Amino acid sequence: MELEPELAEIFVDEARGHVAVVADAAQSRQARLSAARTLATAAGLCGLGELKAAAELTAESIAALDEATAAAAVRTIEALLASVTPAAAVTDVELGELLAGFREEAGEHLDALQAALLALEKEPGRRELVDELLRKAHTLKGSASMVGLPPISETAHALESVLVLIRSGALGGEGVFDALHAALDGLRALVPVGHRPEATELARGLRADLDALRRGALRLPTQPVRPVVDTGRRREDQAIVLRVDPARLDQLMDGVGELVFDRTRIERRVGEIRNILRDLAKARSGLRSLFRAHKLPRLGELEEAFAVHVAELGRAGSALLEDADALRRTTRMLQNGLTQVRMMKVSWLFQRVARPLRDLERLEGKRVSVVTSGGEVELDKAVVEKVTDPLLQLLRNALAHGVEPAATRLALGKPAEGTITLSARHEGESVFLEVADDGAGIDAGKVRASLVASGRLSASAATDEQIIAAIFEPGVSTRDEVDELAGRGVGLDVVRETIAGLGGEISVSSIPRQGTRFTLRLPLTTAISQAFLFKVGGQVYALPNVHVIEATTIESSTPAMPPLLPHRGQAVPLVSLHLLLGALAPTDARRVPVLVLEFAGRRLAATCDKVIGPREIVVKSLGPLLAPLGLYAGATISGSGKVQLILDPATLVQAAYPASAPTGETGVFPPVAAEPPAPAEPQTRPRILVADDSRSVRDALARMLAAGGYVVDQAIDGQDAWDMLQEMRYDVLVTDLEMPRLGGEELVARLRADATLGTIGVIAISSRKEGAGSADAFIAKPVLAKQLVREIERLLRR
Amino acid sequence: MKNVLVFALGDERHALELRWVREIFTLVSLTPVPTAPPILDGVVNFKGAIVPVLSLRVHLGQPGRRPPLPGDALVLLDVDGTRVALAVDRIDAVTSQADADQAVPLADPAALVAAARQQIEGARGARA
Repeated sequence: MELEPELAEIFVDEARGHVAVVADAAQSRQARLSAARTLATAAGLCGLGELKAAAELTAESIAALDEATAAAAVRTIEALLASVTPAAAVTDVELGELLAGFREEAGEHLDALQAALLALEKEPGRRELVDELLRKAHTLKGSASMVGLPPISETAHALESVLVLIRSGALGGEGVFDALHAALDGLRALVPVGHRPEATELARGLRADLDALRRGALRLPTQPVRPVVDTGRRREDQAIVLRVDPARLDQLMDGVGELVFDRTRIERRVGEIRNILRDLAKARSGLRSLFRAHKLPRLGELEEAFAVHVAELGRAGSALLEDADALRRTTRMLQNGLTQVRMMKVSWLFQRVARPLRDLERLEGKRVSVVTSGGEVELDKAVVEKVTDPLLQLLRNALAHGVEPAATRLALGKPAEGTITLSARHEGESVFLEVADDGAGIDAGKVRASLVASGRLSASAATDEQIIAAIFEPGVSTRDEVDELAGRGVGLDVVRETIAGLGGEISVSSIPRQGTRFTLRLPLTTAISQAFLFKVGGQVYALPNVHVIEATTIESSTPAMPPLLPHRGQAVPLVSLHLLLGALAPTDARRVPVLVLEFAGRRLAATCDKVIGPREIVVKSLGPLLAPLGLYAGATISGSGKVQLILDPATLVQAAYPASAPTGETGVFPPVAAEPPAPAEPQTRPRILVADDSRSVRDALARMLAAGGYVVDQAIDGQDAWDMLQEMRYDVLVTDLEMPRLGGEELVARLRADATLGTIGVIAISSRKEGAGSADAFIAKPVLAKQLVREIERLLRR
Repeated sequence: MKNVLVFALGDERHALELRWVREIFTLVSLTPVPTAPPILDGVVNFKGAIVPVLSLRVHLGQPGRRPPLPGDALVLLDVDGTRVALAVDRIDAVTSQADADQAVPLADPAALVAAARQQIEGARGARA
């Protein structure tokens, strides 16, 4: 049984609560025992067998006063909990990603196979080529079977068998090569369709050919089983690498960035719907108490119709949430795919800075050897581009300030030629770039002097380490004279700003006479998009650049703010961002800068204090807590580390065109009209009460029942259920047996003794059958939806 | 025995259980968030992530509210996966609850975050 993402979240949430109680030695043994048992039940219902077993072991251990075992079991539970969400999230999309990964890998293997085969054809004596072929065929077989593509793995196996014969010298000759090329082409055609039914037929033909080869009875392929015809030209075509203008990729990436904004917006709407549902639930309970007080049948009907609509809205809301989730997955896939396309090897970056470094060496009259490592590490193209200049600046610094002249070095017992080490390594979501030299190190004394001279340091209280860290401050020099190298280009303050703007960090360590090491932590990938920056009330804000048509100023003859602004022969509404953002509005409208925006086909102008212009920014999420603030689409971090908010153009459009804004909600349900909305057909949906002390179980059962078209209410224990049964007529009660305050067995006994409620249908749900005696039906946990609905239908027919 | 962080907030002293506390850092630059309720002081950049700064003063109804200023100490909290920061006037001590002055009230970050969530949801659409 698979957990729906939302259910998994609720379950994990609840389970964590139970674990906290179980693990808290301050709690009573009874409470801990009860928490462990409830957890076991909930896990069982969710089909999490291992977790259930661990929770049961915990309960037994607590009962047996075996705290060591209990603690170990709790650790197991925690580990299992950590894996619940991802396990539940196995989706078609992920399978798709898996297949895409395999295709990419298979393509590489096939390229290697083809190259080795061509080489072997020229020099049939080279055994290592046969070994290479065998290795690749074997790897391909393994990967294909890993992702569950038997047609490919079996064909690769047949290929392997033929290659073994070639290695032993039992097979050879021109015909064999032709057949092998044909087989590779066949495999290539098989890779993209490997998961589809037609692959089996295709693979069968390929294997027959290969088996025929193996038996030495060479049968030249004559059947049209291979869609790819074997010609040398064709093989070349397939090796062609697609060259794409990076600008096009950037455009696509911007589009994906927009998609992320759109998604955030939809998720916010879902949040709003949830809130409305909460309000509706409140209104409903108000209706229910009215009904209880007055016992008006009409009111009862109304309440029932209301409940049905609320349930329907709830279902639509859940469906919308699922859609938003699908959108999130697709967006992530697109983003990952595009990022992958933009990944570049760091060696490219190293090569790009090597040439200018040679020129610098001549200029400085110093010799260095550059040692690189980790060139195979990959980085987003956008990051590589942004980091090139800072890296070059660090190399300049190393050469100008670090590495000493040859004579000095020799006097210090160092080799005449300096060494600059460029290295890259990948760690988690970051790539670390290091620029290290074996020069003089940073002179803390000079930096200190520079700080004191500029008035930024009064006493010499700071340690050398703090002093060295100050070299990233603007205007701090490590050299006395302004020279060719230090006097041009970007300084270390700009280096730090650039790195911070990318979402990275830079740090430095230095040892006198041994050298300096700069370490850059860079994000592996980055969601860079084009934004338009402007200032309002002293703060910098951003808008997605694609929506900004023009930056202009208000041309007005009066100081009053006009409601409409002429723009390209059209009057567009003017929105005061000052008002919206709580800033002091300019007293004179004349010459106030405005941005003209277009979103969803609507134009508007927005006031600001100062236009900064388009910039590349890294988009960050504001997080779930602030997501309900509809005015913002996200945030970015400036070069100096300050957060800048990104405004959502959709909200600005709503402000400019209030008619399209949703009607103001007051949180109060409008009074019930005298005439109820006449239902097309009498709403007589069966009403079910679910009683269980576990929220996961309740929610799971309620979902099953709501999907079956019933009106469902939930009670948190037996007592709650009893109270609700007094208020409302229910057709069926679905109850857990073990609950606090009032257990299921006692609840059913009370019901049976009651004159009016005695006939209600009761389904007991438990892991044990004891105590279910007076219920009409018993279902063992875990409950299957089909079984539950069947029992309810049976009881309703009585 | 629970360990607590004791801090000053205006004229009052409060304590926080250490299990919530992830880090203490200095406020460099606070970005105000217009349209947000007063319980939100603003947002800050903490190691590349956007972190909301919540106002314990507003939550507790303390008079004489002043916005956090650069140089103020911020306490980064993790409240069931939600990261928020609190601006405090002074960090006094990290101590065990028994040693702390019994008069020092224990702040409840979960209630603070819940209140913030509710007020932010309430503010949604108010200006739009």
